[in-house]
Amino acid sequence: MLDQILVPFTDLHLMFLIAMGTLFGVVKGLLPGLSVTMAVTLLVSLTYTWDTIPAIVTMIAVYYGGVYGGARSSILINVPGSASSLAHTFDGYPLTKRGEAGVAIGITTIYAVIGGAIGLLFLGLAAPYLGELALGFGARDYFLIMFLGLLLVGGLSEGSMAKAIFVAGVGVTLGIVGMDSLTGVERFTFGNLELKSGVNYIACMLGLFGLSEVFVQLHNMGKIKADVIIGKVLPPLIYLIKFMPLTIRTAIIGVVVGILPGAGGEISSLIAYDHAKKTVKNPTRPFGKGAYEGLVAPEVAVMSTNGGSMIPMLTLGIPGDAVTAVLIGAMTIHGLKPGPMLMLETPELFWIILGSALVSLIFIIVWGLSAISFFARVILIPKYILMPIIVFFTVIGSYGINNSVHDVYWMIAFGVIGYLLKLYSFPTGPMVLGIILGPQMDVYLRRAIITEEGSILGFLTSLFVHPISLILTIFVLFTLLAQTDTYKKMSKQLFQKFSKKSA
Amino acid sequence: MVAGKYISTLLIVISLAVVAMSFNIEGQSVFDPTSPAFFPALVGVVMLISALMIARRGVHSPSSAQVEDKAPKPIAGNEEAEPEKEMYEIENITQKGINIRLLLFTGLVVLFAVLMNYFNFMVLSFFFLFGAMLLLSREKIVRSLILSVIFSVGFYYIFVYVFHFVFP
Repeated sequence: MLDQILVPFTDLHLMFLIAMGTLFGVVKGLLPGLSVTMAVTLLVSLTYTWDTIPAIVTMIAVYYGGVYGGARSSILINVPGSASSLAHTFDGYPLTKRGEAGVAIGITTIYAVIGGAIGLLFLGLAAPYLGELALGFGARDYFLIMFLGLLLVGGLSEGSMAKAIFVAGVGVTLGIVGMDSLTGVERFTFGNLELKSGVNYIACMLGLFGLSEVFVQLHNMGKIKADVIIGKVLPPLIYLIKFMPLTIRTAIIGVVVGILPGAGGEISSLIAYDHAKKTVKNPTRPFGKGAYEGLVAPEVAVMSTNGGSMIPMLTLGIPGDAVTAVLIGAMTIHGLKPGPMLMLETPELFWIILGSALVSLIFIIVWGLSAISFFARVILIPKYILMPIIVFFTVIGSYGINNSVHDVYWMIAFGVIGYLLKLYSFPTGPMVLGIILGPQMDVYLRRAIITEEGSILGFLTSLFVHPISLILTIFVLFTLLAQTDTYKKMSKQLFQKFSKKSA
Repeated sequence: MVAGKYISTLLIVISLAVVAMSFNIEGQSVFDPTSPAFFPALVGVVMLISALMIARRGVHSPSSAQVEDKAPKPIAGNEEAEPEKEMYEIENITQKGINIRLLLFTGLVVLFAVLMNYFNFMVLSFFFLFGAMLLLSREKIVRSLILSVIFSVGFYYIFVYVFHFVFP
């Protein structure tokens, strides 16, 4: 185990890739409007021809670097680099206005590494056991987990649940285009030969996360106004000890949220910030006015979420969020099958992934603390230069999948669809999850029904008979119930009653 | 509001199409839960229910969606924080101008894709980058020209020698 964790530390080629991947992720992450998902998706298509380990290791580095980099633009220009760094604007930007941008960046860098390391610790401890446990999961359990993932990604992300379910439905439908893996029957192919092998989800992701984001950015090509004084970088050492309890609590929040299928850093950072506001009695400054705790909490949570979301990804083959959905796609392309069998057949890869994430954390310190002025200038790259380059990458990326222009057309089509979805406040994440999970959900559902001798009633009964299925069914029902108006009304009334009593 | 109604109708039509297509899968019955037609039909029905719920609640207009996107939202209890200044210069452009820019840019991307099989990739990528930069910046011709040359040549060699790409 230790030998495998140390592989990225000792192999110079891998270390170089991780260093570059982390740098690419940080740069991508700090550019507002360009998501980590987009960065990782681009890399999936670009590293298509690489060997498995270098490709996966680079993507993990981009993932960690990108999630960390998102906080930078929140702090410096009050524009979140990614959805998960929204909470960093609350106290990060006030610090910049006070001339303490350097300290804000220093805090996020140090706590990103601490949070990331705690997340990885949980991953290393929990994944092998969960992997073993997952071997006992039945087809219906997998179906339920995937269904729950789709519900959660909709319920917890932007927009209404109905919109998310609809988009996920479109994704599932697109995912099952082609030959059915159980029977070989063609579905929704319209006799087209190209559609027989299904819709290429990498092209779809490049369109939905890449091109569509560029289209949204085209609405305002105004320059970023920034006059940033960096100041000193490292916070006083005493704060490391002072913030330790908050760090541990918010790291646990991050890991738990990460484990939930569909919930990612954007949720954990806000929960952690809210938690810090409620529990820290004497913050360094009032929250919202530059409290260091207001930066520590979301940063630790966001980075520990990475480790948490890799737990279901690697042990069950279920994405924790959109980025891990892309990573699952990448692993599949390289002939791997994320899930219990990955832990059983190629455990060395699991430990190498963990080791590469650790190396990436080291490079986060290196890049994060060494080139602050350079990164501040990167944010100011005019959009008229940046946008064409990103489109260029998405075109090349989609072409590179099969060396086919048809994939570029798909990418453009999905770019337009993604743009329209964003314009009308529909979330795009559920579509990608739907495309990836759809075919698997279909197979697992039918297998579960076949196990019950083709009876739907038997299948429904089995959901309440088997303990794991029962727990998952309760989760699914609760998630659905939590979206109803009656539940929202009731919980609001209860909350008001409770607050009156405590007052 | 009118666009919202069209969108709602479109969603219902898409859902119905999925259900109808499921019925048309050759030699399969949607009523047999083990057949390949069952799951798509089920998804279609779920989509239809969601589409009806969306139609009931209404779809927000694009303009409100954009305004929502721009500024970071405060969370509960943080509202007392002083209002932040706008960090992006607001561009002096009409909605019509944005639409034209979007259409031209999309056209440029499509043209880039269509011509990929017919032109030398490095030359084509130079024209695409230059055209797109010019379209978006409108004035900085020399700067756009220099950057396009650097990027198209640089990226070509990176993709060929680092990522082992085979261009058309």
